[in-house]
Amino acid sequence: MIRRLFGRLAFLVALNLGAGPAWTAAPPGEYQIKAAYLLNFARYVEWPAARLPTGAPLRLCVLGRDPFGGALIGLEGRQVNGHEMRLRQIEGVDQAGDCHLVFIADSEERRLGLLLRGLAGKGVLSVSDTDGFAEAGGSIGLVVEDGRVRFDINQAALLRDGLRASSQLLRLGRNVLGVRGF
Amino acid sequence: MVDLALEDLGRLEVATVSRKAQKLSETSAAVSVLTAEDIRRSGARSVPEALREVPGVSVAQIGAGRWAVGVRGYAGRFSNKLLVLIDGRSVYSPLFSGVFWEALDVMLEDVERIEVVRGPGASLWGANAVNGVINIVTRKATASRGGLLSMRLDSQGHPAVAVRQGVELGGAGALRVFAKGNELAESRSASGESGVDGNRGWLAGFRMDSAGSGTNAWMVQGNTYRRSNRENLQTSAQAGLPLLLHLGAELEGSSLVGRHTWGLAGGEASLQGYVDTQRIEAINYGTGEVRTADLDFQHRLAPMGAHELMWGLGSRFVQTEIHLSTPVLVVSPSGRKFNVASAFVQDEITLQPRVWKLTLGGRFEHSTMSRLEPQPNARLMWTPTDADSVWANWSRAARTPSVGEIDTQTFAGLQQTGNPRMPVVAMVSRPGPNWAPRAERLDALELGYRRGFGNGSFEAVLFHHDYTHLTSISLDPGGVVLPGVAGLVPVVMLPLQYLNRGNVGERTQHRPGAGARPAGDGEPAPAGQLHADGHPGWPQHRPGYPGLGRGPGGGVTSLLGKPARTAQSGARSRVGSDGAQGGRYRSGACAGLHQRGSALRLASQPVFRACGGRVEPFRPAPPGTRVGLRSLATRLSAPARICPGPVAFLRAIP
Repeated sequence: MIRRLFGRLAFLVALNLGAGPAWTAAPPGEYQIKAAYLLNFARYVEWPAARLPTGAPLRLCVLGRDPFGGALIGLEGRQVNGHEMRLRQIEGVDQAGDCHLVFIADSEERRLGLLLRGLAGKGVLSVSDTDGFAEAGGSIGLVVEDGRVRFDINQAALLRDGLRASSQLLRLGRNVLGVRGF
Repeated sequence: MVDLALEDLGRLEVATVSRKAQKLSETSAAVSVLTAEDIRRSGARSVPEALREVPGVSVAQIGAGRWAVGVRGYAGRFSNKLLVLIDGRSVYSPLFSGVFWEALDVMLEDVERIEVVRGPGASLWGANAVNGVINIVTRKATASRGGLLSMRLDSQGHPAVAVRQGVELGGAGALRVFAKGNELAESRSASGESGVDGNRGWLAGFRMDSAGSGTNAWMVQGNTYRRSNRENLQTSAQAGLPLLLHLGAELEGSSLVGRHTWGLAGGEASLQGYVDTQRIEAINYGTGEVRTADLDFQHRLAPMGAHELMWGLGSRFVQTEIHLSTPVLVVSPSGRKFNVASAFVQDEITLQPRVWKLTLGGRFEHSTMSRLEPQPNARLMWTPTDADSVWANWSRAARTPSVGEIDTQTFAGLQQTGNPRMPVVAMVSRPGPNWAPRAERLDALELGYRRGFGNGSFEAVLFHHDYTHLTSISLDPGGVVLPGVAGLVPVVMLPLQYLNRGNVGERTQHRPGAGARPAGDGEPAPAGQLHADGHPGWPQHRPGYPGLGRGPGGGVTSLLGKPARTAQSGARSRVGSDGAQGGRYRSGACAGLHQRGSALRLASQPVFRACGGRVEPFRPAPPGTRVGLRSLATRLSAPARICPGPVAFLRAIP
């Protein structure tokens, strides 16, 4: 009995160790693709001039536990429509005042409603990959569908914040919410 | 990579999809989340089948539609320490303190996620969240537009049809209506015997959600169901002669839930109310009915420095009515009305951003069926890296006594005594004469470690559960009553021994009865061990009568059934990998070692549980016909269980 038990445990340990490296290696990783999306969103969304004056840096803030694993570092200092991109880690909505694009990490899912409420009307493009983000009132929700990363846009939320999404962005979105009325 | 155009990004195939371990790393509890994708890929046909995927949840199929589901042991068909919620509505029945799994049905295609919390969650979720909480969350109507038709037939011959249609309500929101019907054929035991059972029925409902800019949201949903369930029950303690009862039951119910979420004082408030009615008609035995009205308010305040406060108030009104036409079960009074009022507060304190977090919380709950139950909770969490988290918890939870425990007098069977002058004694279980029912209590300590990988996670939890005031039965000290059972069982005139129900506390704890054993045993009982269970109001315990051979007339006050105090500790781990080959197949393995002991008898009962591997061919193709083969073997230490063999299924989703 004991020997059988040991056999099973050994099997488990072997499974754990053996499979370890395979899990950590992730070429074109999900978050590399998501980082590339963030850059593109910054390209295809227009902020009001008062919010983002010509030549001013465009701040990309990460709220919560950064899931990108270094994939965002490549965005630092890039030129986007004449703005230099700057990265920042923030801890709460109160620090989001000078952010233009806020990525809300999955770790913040429980307080999502509270965060969206705090960001509303501040001229911030909110992006997240939590489930149902755009439906919950966020600007752009990233979704993984059939092994591909797609996005939903909440046009109502963008309009409320005075942001303008280019027609190309709207065309490529999986779902565009709030087109009619509301 | 970063310079790819928007068009190309949408075409890139992701090699490994992360398992959403991020949000888990923030949770200072043993939590698993089954996402819609997990459920879709698992090929699960019902909620209990989906729950098989979750480590730490014991799921055993007793028969067609009948399940024993438990968390951290205590899995029996009538396991009473697990709270189950569907979109915030409790499906935990106050009749017998448990869940009628044979009646629980949801449209699995529209489930967004199933959250499973292992360990007590009472300070947040309320009473009866003792060993765990299962929270089923369905999709918003705004996320389920369009139509869906799902038809299924599997190798065991279980047809199922589900239809759903989403409707846009102008700019106001969206609505979906759905209906589902299925039939579960006769089950077969591992040895091939027919279970002489069956389960079929339908479910229909709707859900309406407001279109979201997120600031003011509302939701209304309703559903109604009807199921027929039949089964053969074998009673165990009939003087060595097992009695076979054929039991047919019609279960029906309806519910209506409304929720409104709005901004309040810089934070977010939600008000939820629901009404629910359930009716069970056990053919030839009687009917049971439960009506519930519930109102719940929650307010999450804007963070104040390091503090994040949350508080809430709840009120529930329950009305039960049981009418019986069987001599083996007497309920008095036949109707009950009771109120539960509760208040909770929780403070999440960030000691060091993203590294140390302390959560203090508590709930005060008062039920007119029990008494005031404070249910405090303290959690400390350390997250040294983004992937690792370590937590320590202390919490207390309560399980309120059920109508079945408080009000019923049950003919529990005949018992041989070995005494020639009194060879057979009728056993009747009843509420103790001076019993003031109160809630069972759990004090739990937990130490956990979790490591998230890109597409999997590893978790090890050490826990110690200390249960007190368990509802148990003891022999009536008055001994055998003569002539006996006149009114109760007209056909027999036998000596009668009462079994008194009560919250036998410390008093009996130090009195190891002749053969006390935990009857709320961690293993699901095979169907043959159940009494006339499934009966409305039937008490949840399954007494074994160990001490009786030594002469019930002697007034041996031995503790039967559940001991007043048990302790259990255990450790679990799980490894899994997902979508290793471009999401083309999925495999997993889990194993656990569970040790359960009783304070009454120091010898612990080791229970080894292992669930085998599973490989499911899976193509991330566009929606269409899906063919799968699922093989899942669960090995539990006790024999005679219906084993889920390989299941082949064909599902068409146009």
